[in-house]
Amino acid sequence: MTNKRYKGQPVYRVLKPIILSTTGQEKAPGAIVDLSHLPPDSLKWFLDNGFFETADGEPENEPAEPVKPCVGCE
Amino acid sequence: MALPAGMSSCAMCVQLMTGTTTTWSTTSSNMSVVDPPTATRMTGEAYVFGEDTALVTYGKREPVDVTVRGIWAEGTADPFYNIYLAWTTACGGTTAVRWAPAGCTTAHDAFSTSTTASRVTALTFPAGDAGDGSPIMYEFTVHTPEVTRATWA
Repeated sequence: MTNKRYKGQPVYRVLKPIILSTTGQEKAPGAIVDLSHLPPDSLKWFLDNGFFETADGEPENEPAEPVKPCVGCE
Repeated sequence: MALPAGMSSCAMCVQLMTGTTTTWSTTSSNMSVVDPPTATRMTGEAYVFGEDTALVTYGKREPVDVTVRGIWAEGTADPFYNIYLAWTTACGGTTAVRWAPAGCTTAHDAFSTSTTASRVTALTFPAGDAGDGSPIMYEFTVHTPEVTRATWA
């Protein structure tokens, strides 16, 4: 299975060490991650506290979890 | 001034990564105590005749030892099984510990030993005492270059 994300799904750059709750894996600053599992309020808290910054358009992506093949996408 | 929101270790979460696995397994149901390590930095000092206080210098951070106590439950599902396997591996199998004092949930902090350079350097086997009705426990110490902090997201 490929780890291709859904088209248009935002990704974020890690600024402080975090552990992805979906995989339990620790991500160092600089990693690009998919935070689609976080509710909006939670995501806002992390952005406001400097844990992440938006990284839309980054070529590399490390999904929070393997996603199903995107039907109808490129 | 308002008091800070204190917290207890009631919901603490403990995870292990042993042997060649690269994933963490939650062992909170088996672990009882994580002794906080005392991290230290090398220091040096020298004295001269002309001054009453020492010249102090500082070096590198020293390795730390994290001691964990668990409830012995027997069988391969007991974390002791994998800890023992790593302990008996030649030159020591990797055994990393990660603990989150307030729980393994979003926005809480976790501390972890190195996932590549941590080894068990002391293991106290389950014991028995006819005059003691307490649960049988074991204890192990993980030696690691440093303890790092990260936040659950």
